[in-house]
Formats: sequence, C-alpha cells, structure tokens
Amino acid sequence: MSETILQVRDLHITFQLFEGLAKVIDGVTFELKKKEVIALVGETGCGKSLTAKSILGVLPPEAKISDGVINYKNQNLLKLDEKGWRRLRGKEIAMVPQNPMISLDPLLTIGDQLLDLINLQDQPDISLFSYYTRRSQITKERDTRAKAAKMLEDVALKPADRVMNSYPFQISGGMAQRVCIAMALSGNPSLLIADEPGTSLDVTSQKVILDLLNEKIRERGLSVIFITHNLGVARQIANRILIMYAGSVAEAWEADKIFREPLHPYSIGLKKAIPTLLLTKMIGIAGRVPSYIDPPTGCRFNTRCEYAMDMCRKVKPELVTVGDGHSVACYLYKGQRG
Amino acid sequence: MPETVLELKSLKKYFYLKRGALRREAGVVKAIDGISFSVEKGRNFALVGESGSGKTTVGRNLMRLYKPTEGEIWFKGEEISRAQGHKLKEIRRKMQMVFQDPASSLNPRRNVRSIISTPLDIHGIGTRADRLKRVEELLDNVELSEDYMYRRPTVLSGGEKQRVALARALASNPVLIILDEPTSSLDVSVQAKILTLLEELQKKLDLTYLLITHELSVVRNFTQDTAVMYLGKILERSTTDEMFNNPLHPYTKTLLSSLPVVFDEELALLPKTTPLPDASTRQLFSAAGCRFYTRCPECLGEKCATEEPPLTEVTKGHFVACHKCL
Repeated sequence: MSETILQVRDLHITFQLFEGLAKVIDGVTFELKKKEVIALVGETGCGKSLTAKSILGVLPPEAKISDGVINYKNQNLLKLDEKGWRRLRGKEIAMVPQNPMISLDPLLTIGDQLLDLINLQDQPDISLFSYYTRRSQITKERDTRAKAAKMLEDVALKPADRVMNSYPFQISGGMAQRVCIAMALSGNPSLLIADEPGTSLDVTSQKVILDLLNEKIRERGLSVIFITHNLGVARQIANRILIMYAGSVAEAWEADKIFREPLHPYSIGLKKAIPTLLLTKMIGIAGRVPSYIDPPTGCRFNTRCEYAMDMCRKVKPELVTVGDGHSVACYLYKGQRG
Repeated sequence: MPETVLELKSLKKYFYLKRGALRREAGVVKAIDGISFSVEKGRNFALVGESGSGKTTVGRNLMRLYKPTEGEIWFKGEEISRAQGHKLKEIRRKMQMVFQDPASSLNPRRNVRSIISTPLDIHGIGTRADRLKRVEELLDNVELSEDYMYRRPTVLSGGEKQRVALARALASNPVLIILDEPTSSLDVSVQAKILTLLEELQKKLDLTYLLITHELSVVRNFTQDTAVMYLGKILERSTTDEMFNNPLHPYTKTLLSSLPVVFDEELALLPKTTPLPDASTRQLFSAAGCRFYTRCPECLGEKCATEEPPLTEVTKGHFVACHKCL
C-alpha cells in the first residue's frame, strides 16, 4: 500500500460558548493514504466540516484545538504559525467550499477573484496591504489573465472570457461550483478537501459536478477528503467511508462494504433509514443528537443505542480494527487496537 | 370507482415582469404552462422536478396563495380557481400545506401552542378549552410531548419544527395536505422518522398527500402516482411503480440515472444515460418546440425544435410528452 499523506490522531476541538464549554470534536482518528478518496459522512452537527477546517487551519476564532495531532507529510500542522499555514494552503492543501454562491465575493468579478488568488499563491510572503497597493502592476507584469482563463477552461467553463467578466450572481449555481473547483485546483495541491460540493444543486447538475471532480481527482492523482451527508454521493465517489457520530469516528470501511454489513449500531440505524429504490422499510433512529455541552459519558451514542451496556456509559470505546481495513468504535466487537 | 380529491385542468400561471415608471410589461414568465392531473383519495401524488420547474408554484396555486392565470382546479367536486371570501376559507380548512423550510414558516416569537392553535382560531373551531385540548391531541399525533407546548421554534431541532408545522396543518382536519419538500432540510435518520409518521397519520386520519419534491428515492417509497415537471409542463405522468420500472421520457431517464444510490442492487434498477449539459432553467421560455430539446440526449432534431409534443397516453395510465416515445 502506498504511503500515508495525512494522519489525524485523537483530535479534540472545544468551543467556548456562553452556555459553557462545548466539546465538539471528541477524539477523531483517521489516516489518508496517497491517491485515496475518503468520505466523512454523518448528520448535521457531527463535526465533519470542523474536522476538515482544522486540517486547513481555518477554524472559527472561538474554536480551540485542545488535544491531538495532525500530521501532513510528516509535519505536525498544529505547530504551524500563520505564515507556515499560508505556504501550505492552496499549494499543498486546498478546499472546495460548501456553498459556492456564498464563498465567492459578490462585489468582484470571477476574473478578479481568480487573479488575486493566483498572484497571492505565487508570493505567499507578500503582505495583503502591499499586494493591493501594487495589484494592477503585478497583474500586468505577470500575465496572470491567461493562466486564469486556462484554469476555467480546465473545468469546462467556456467561453472563459465571458465567465471572467461576470459577477457571481450572473452565473448559475453549477457554474459557480466549477469556479470554486478551479480555484481549489489552481495551486496544484496534493490534498483536496471537498465540503459537500454539489449539495445545493439539482440531481442532474450534481451528477455533472461529481463526474468533473472524479475526473480531476484521477487525472491529478489527488488525495481527497470528501465531506457529505448524502450517503449515496459518498458511496459513488469514495474508496473508503468514515461514519462520524457526535464528534468521533464510529466506523470506517471500504465504500462498497460499509452499508452492506455495518457493525456499529449507529451505522446499522443509518442503513435502515436510507430511502432506497428497493422499497425496504425506512426506520429512523430514536432520540436526538446529544448536546455537546453536557454529552453523555462513555460512548456518545449510548442514549440512543439498543445494545448499550454498563461499560458504554462509563468509558468511551476506542476505534479498533476488526477486519481488513475495517475499524469500529463499539464494545460489541473485540478487535485489535489499531 | 376511486374518489377524486383534486383535479387540475390545464392550469396556467404566468408572472408578468414590469419595468419602468409606467410599469410597462417587459416579459412574461410562464411558471406553469397548462398542466393537468388528478389526485385520488388515499393515493399519494408526487410532483417532481428540478428547481425552477414550477412545482412549488403549483402547490401555491392550489392553496390559492396565487391566483391562477387560466385553467380549472376542482377540489372535492367544486371549482375553486376563482373562489373568494368564505368559500376560500372553507377550502383552506380542508386543504392544508406544510411549507418548504420549517425554520422560516414558524413565527419565532410565538410558542408552539399558539402556532398550532392559529388555524383553530381562524376557523373558529371549538371553545378556548376545546382548543387547548385539541392542541394537546395534535402534539400527541405528531409524537411530541406536552412539554413542547410553551417552547418557541428557535429551541427546536429541524425534525421537531417539521412536526410542529405538520401539527398546524392537521389542526383543521384537512382531507388533503400539500407537502412542499417536507424532508429536504433533514438528515436521513430524521427523514425516515417524519415519513413513517406521515404514513401512520394517513392511516389514522384518512388523509391524502400531494408531495412536492426533488428527492426521487423518497418519491419511490412514499407515493403511488408521480408526475415529472420541467419548465412549467408535465413531461411524464404515471403510477410511481411504472415510472421507476419503465421510464420513457429522456428527461425522466436522466433524472433517475443521476440519482446517487447506496446499494449496487439499486444501481441495476437505474437507466443508463449520458449526463445532461449544465443549463440554467430560469429562462424566459418562448420557443415553439419541446421545452427539453436543447438538453435532450435523444433529440430527433427539426421536429422537436418546432413542434411541442402533447402529453399522450402511451400505455394505460402512462402519459408522456415526447415525439420519440410515441
């Protein structure tokens, strides 16, 4: 098997809120191999976006990483300063944001936004002030317009000139999503984080966007963390799926197997809730996601779990390996410590 | 003979765009351009299509939140497209709607009790004490405890808000409920619970649902009849079983083939087609031909561009508007 590009170990993130300390990410552990596509799936608020943001160093100010390690190519990202992050973002690790219409600045044309991106990426040490005072000069000198046009053509946006002169509200959601993909790919990153791309689009446009992403991933040999709440999308695009629940990974396995024979009670519940074309009966999971300020001790799923034992209410189960590439965090299964 | 609850006869809704100080007419958006279907008692009907296809506009016309431009709406044997005043109020008592986004359709400043009892107040149902009892009963129906009575929408989760919205719709004892994307903002595990609840309520209260959605796997599991809309027209209409087993219109096929599915067995059930080119559906449509022909993978050329295909019955109960399928 190829080398590991990213390793997240025992990550804990807390939020200081008015109501108290919210322990949102509670020991996320996973590895990403080179050229592997993994999907983080889970329901709203389970911490999948937050995990991704911590890898890119763009957590909201009230969030604090209280424990854990994020190793990217044998470098602990959590030790980086802002300058170090800037050298990494875009060039090594890039992100396709959740909502393209919100991520693009409505006051600037697509072209302007691309130019700034390219210019700043090439000169990570320049301060924003000195960049904006010399912006037009830099743009002229370095002939970045042609490069920007090529980026757009690369994601099948034609004619590139017209798109570059448009403002974000003048293009469709599908096109905006393509612009965001072009931006993410512009610095030739090796790790791509895709946060729910295409979810705001119709199924037909979503399919086109996913096909485009798939093509780019393969063409460039990217390693990808794909975040989605749509289990079908995860199944179609990823090699491996990590099911998250309330801030930690509940189960991880290959994409074609995990929904076939899930082991974790939460995964089993999720499987039963999926509306399928096979007309299987849909059953929801009883109860609701626990509050992060006062989460249940032990396994955070114990309040909704029909197999909950005494042990589950006391000590949090670790993610253990139960088979080939299959790990699960549940006391029902005895495995080897991974 | 099954009882028809609702019937639409070539319903049209045009929005006129006005410009300038004199409100000169600058264009027309044909949001619904002549659609007909009927909903039978106890058979859930699904209206599917992409955003901008006009499905929500149909729902709003039925509730008479919009005034239809042309056409007839028959509800329980009465023509309601021009109803006003008392008659309209009576109709809305029997036909209710659950709106798209539960977060924005509940007033954040009022508590659950006041939200649910609003329809009772408006229709003057029962005395004060009766109404309180009825709210308790409705909360029980949607599986919320009495503790929720004095909470406000902001402290509720998405699924709970949807239950409150549903309880409000049930308050006036309707026979038909229009569900506009009832689960699209919810997670799968919550979605399953809401759909199960809807099914139980249907059995208990003898309801019929008109489901407006873009989620095809929900349609498959929840409805008996389906119509596919595209730019204000119905392109295909049949029973849900027939639609999924034997889709005829190229658009229906593409919709189905774009569906991201979880299990391999499902993949085998989907038709294989090439994905559609990206297109903005929010165009002012004026061309004469088939609405879908610019994006159609099976387009016949000249005929599709110039002649609009009528909705024709191909096999029993299966209607398609496509030159190629005839």
